[in-house]
Amino acid sequence: MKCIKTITVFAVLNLIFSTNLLQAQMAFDTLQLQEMEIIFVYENADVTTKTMVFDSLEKRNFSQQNLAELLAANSVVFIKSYGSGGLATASFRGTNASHTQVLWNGFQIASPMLGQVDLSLVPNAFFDRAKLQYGGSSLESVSGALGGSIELENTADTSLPILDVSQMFGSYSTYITTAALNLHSGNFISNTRFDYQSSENDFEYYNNAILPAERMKQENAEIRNIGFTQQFAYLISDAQQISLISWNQWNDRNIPATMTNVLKGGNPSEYQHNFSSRNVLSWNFHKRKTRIEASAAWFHEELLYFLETVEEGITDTLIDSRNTSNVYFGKVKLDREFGEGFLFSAGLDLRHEQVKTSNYIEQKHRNSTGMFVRIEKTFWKRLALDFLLRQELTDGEFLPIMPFFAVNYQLLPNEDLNIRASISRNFHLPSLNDLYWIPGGNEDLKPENAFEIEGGLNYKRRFNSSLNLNADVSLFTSQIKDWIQWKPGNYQYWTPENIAQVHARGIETSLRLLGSIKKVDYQLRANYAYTHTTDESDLAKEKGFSGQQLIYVPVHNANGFAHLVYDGIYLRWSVNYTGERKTTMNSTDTFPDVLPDYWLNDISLGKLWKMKKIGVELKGKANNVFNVSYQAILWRAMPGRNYEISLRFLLN
Amino acid sequence: MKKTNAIILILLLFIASCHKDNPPPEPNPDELGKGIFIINEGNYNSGNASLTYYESETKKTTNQLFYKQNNAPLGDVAQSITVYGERAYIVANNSGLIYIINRKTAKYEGKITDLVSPRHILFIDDNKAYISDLSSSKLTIINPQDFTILGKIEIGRTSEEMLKIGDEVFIANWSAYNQSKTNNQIMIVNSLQDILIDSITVGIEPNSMVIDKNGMLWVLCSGGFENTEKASLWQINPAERKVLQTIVFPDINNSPTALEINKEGDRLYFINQSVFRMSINETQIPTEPFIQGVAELPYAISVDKQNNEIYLTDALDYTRDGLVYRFNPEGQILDTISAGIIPGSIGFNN
Repeated sequence: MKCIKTITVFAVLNLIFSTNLLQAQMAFDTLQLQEMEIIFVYENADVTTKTMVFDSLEKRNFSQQNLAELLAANSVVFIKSYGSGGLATASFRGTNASHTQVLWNGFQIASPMLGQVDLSLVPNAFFDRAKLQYGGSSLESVSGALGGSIELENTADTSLPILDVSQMFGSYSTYITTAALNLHSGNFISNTRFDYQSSENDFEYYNNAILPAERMKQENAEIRNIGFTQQFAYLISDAQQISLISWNQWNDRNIPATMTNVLKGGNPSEYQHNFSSRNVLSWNFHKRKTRIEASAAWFHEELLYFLETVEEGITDTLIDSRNTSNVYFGKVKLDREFGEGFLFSAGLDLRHEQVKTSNYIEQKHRNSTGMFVRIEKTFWKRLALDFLLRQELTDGEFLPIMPFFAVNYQLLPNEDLNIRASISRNFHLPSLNDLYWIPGGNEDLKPENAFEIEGGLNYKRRFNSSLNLNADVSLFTSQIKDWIQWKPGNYQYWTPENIAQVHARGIETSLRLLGSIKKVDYQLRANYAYTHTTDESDLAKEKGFSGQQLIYVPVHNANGFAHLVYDGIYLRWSVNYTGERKTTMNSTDTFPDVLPDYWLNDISLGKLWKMKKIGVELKGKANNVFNVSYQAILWRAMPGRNYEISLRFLLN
Repeated sequence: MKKTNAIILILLLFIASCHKDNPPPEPNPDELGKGIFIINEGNYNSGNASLTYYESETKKTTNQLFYKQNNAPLGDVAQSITVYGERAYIVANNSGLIYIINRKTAKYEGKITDLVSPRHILFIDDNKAYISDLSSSKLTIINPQDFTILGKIEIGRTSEEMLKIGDEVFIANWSAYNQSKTNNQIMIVNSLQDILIDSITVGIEPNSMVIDKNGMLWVLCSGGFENTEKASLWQINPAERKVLQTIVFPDINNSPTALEINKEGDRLYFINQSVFRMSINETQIPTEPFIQGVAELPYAISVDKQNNEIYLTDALDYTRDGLVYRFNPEGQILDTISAGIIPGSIGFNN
């Protein structure tokens, strides 16, 4: 037992702190990390750009939550959240939420209407691995990730426990049930995941947005989500695998009034129903130095939104918005290794978007075709070059070529100290709502056009078993022209235009330490980001608001995480700092034009009991431990200190 | 050992936590001098409406006055202000409430809540007022002294601006929101009995009304969403409920708003991209604007009934603090006031 554990720890250490990373190599291997306690992978497999991978540990600590909560606590990607269970979007490096591409098993899950993803509807139970890709290297998979991309993957892994069931009970009548059934027989693998979440979300808060201020309960904030994923994989031979995965989910969400609007009459109710079905069929071939991957996907989404009031028993439906979208994808990709440290990749992808909604004049379609070639080459085992070109065709029109070039150099022969730099150009297409929404949609919109430069320094060192270090610093600057903004048009409704020219620049740093002292395994991690993002268009200069931070982008953002394990007992502490954010483009720096910064602390304590084939885990968690009263978005109520307890059962 | 210390240090960094609440605003101790309240609508669902005060003699501007005096926001989409007696009544449309403040201090005195989508308040007398509503077919009757709701008047349509002529109240059915009927009526309510008695058909989307020196009612209709018909200006004899004349705007793209009248009651003002002025005796829309090129997005006008000075609000791009321009009666600019997001309704505090 102990022996296995030690081996696993070393395996992980090797992954994180391996000194031989500077090899453009094909990452074919599935990570075989079976041990429960210490599984935390931060890899720089893509050595030329900043990449961050969340594997089991972070994921497991947030196994019952959603992707928004995972990223908010563990990365400096900014999560704009309308409150627990409410809409949450992610933005990288001072860009917009629509500039973050979220891929699930290789395909974009963003609604083609909105062009962005609500991360609160992505349960962590439904993917095995999340990878954050900063900057231009995302061009291999997708265009339009002007800030970065989030790639979610399901691995058909035979090492997973056969049965993994957990039940969480939380404050505000929150119940989350997750279950996973992983079976394999011969060459056949079946993975089933189930997730059910419900919450009344009726937390108490101090409403100082009304007069006189009073303590009240959040109302009309109930959520109920249910979903499952089913994956079948079949190993045709050692070299070939075929896989089918389907993710189906139903969400019901009530949308609470802002704190200023709780006294409104007519008993208003605002709610939303979502249904999504995402299906991916893929075929993988790899033999020696060649890998071919072909996949097809169909993503279907329904979004129904209602706003109703009741007067004297009669319901008035003020808004009844029904939207259906279908997106069909196809993709082929080839990787070929020509000798050690020389990798060539090329791919072709097709996308057909279809939207049916009462908010457009008619059903709308969009076709996109993309292709890329990429060459990665390592010289003298110290210098790596990475060159990529992407070309896209949308509805018969070519976008300009999108190039990405990156370099990484190991500064000292015997130290894992690397310097990296990259440069890229990227385009982001307007969403279909930007083009066709009635009223206001503007069919003349141009794609947003970004030019990005990134540089960074990474240092890894394994001092001994009690101290391992990984430190990283990145600098980035990106210029985004024709940035789309909605502004007032004729008849006093809003219309989008390519008006802003945004300059986003900043620094990101991270520090990770891990090791084992006596019988205590520890991991410590801290991230900090400084982001300055401004509109430098001629209009902004003329009107005097150039140089001002864009709204809801914190200049300072940081988080930290500590994890200690002793004899199956673990303690995890995460701290999240969100700096001041502007809520308007005004120059005043007082509330409510600026929202104050806040610190949030979450602590969990748990124990895992392991018997031969059975594991049982009991965990208690306190969120917002110091009961901080804060607003992530102006006048949106947020919960104070709250608790959860969960019980998990594993069968190996 | 050193490493252990380092780890402890890092742990301590994790624990570092600070709590900062919204800093309490500094109250404004002085009584407000003669001037204007400017209601800044703010953005829908953002709760960033605010109150600006401008002292017309000293030209002193105070922004965020409501927040400074009361430590709470004005609400979501502040629609209108009505100064009456010693108080001012501010309608926060999407908050479904009316805040009542002292007109000399802007301190909170009370509220009327539980309104569906209130737009304007009209005083019938000291003890009775009507509230119009954007999504309800009922007017709300309130007691403006004790802030209670007295009842409702079913008028069958949504309501916007209201005017009282004698014992009759003329109510514009501006919006087609939440109604199937065409929004082209002026509803007439008897204010003694609180019942709908009649209606007059005008153009689509009657958005503002004034009464001239002869007691005639003028109604400005913008022609509807995406201009269903040409915009029009209507002159009505309210006693006979008879249309005297209809002046049609020349261009289908014209979407005029904010009809105002001077102190003498013989000159009309409105916004049609620029500010226009016309005599009540004219029978055509003037071709030349009265004030042009000052505002980026002219939003509302108010004429000071003491001296005929004109205030024009500029909503800019709806996202930054807007401006209010003050003009003399001849249309020469006197001052530029920096207000809040989407300045609209103005209340004279003379």
